Amino acid sequence: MSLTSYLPIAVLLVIALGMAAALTLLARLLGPSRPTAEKLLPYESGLDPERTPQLRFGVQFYRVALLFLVFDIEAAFFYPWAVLYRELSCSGEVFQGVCQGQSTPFGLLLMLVFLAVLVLALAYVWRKKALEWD
Amino acid sequence: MTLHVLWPNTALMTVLAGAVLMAYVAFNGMLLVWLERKVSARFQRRLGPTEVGWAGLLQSAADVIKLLAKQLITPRHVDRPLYHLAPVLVFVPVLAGISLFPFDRHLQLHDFNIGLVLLFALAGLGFLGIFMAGWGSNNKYALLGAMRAVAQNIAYEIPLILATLPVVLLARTMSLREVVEAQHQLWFIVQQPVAFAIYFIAAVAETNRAPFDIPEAESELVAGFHTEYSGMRFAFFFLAEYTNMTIVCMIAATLFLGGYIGPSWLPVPGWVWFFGKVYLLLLVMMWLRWTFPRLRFDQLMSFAWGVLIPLAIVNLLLTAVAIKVWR
Repeated sequence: MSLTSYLPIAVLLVIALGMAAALTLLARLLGPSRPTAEKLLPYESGLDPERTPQLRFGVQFYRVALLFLVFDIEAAFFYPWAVLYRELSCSGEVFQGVCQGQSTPFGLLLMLVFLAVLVLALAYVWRKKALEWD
Repeated sequence: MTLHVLWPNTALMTVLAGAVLMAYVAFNGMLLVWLERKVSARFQRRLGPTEVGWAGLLQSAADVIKLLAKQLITPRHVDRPLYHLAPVLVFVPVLAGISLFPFDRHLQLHDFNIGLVLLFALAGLGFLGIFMAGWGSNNKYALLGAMRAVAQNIAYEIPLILATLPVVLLARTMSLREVVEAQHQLWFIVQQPVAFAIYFIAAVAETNRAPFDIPEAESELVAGFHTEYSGMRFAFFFLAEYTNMTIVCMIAATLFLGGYIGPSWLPVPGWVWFFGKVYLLLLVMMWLRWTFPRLRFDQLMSFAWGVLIPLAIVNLLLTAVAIKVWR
């Protein structure tokens, strides 16, 4: 499958972008524009904000982000493995999902090693209480 | 393996299909808002909208006109590029996402051999928009909501992906059409009930819906990441949210409920089956909202990492072993 076959997706993205721009423009034309100083203040339930909210943030969020990176990439590697699982655990040809040759444990072992790393990491993180919120 | 589709891949047809999909997304958004209000009302022994149109059916259309005619307020201290781009970035990928599904045997814009991965990639763009909205708004409620939304979305993305893997294992493909075609004898929900349950719970969390609606918990965060958005820009977030609900239900229908396949002795076209399953799942999502109380944030995170992910890994392992034993 060549890269040009993704062109329809690109076309759709452009259409959606145009639609979003057109609707925003329409809202700007139809809606009134009467800004007042109070209206343009950040919303804080009626109080004036005292400082910028972009301060330091809980480190737990960064830990979750780091863990996500590891797990998401690993999960992405699982997809091709899942598609080719029959081929990986068969010494001969695979016809319509059924192995014609000798069945081998290679496919299963491959994933077991991969999963072991993943599970070990998760257990370590869990024991270190890195995912606990306080 | 190539399969013929109804729409040929010419530029004009793609643009036409895009317009049709766009219209569907808008119509679907309005329908779901109406349905949500009606369902919520019935759960609380109210009537919901009744005035505009038959049974209030035109209420959503009236709301769209109202939103269009509202002033577009841009608060003074926002980060302008981020603030303006965020609703667009949340809204644009969902249209591309909804175009990937086989609505009927011969009704699919284009069948990609990595359709499933492409869907998750497009969904990932939406999180970026949510965080841009929260960071760019320069509002503490918005930032808190965005941080929670991103942490929750990435935590539930993993069980979501791990729950789709057993289906890929069984179907030996990532193409959405071929996954459906592999379910002629048996829907995958029969072989994979645990994966379906994990997928659906994670999907509810991915769409930030109750009981996982912590990112926009009204009683504590006003409106979460879109606190500072009004008028049409708010409508983009709203529309994207309802379209995302539809997309996760479409994935569930495609992967687990046989997509466009129904009992062959019934003379019902495939797309009726497909949309019937999708809207049934959407009703279940609305039902869940009024059944479960909102989780606390720490409960939410430990549920994802401590329950769903280990369960999904065990389920994947058992599926692989079962295939080894029986084939």
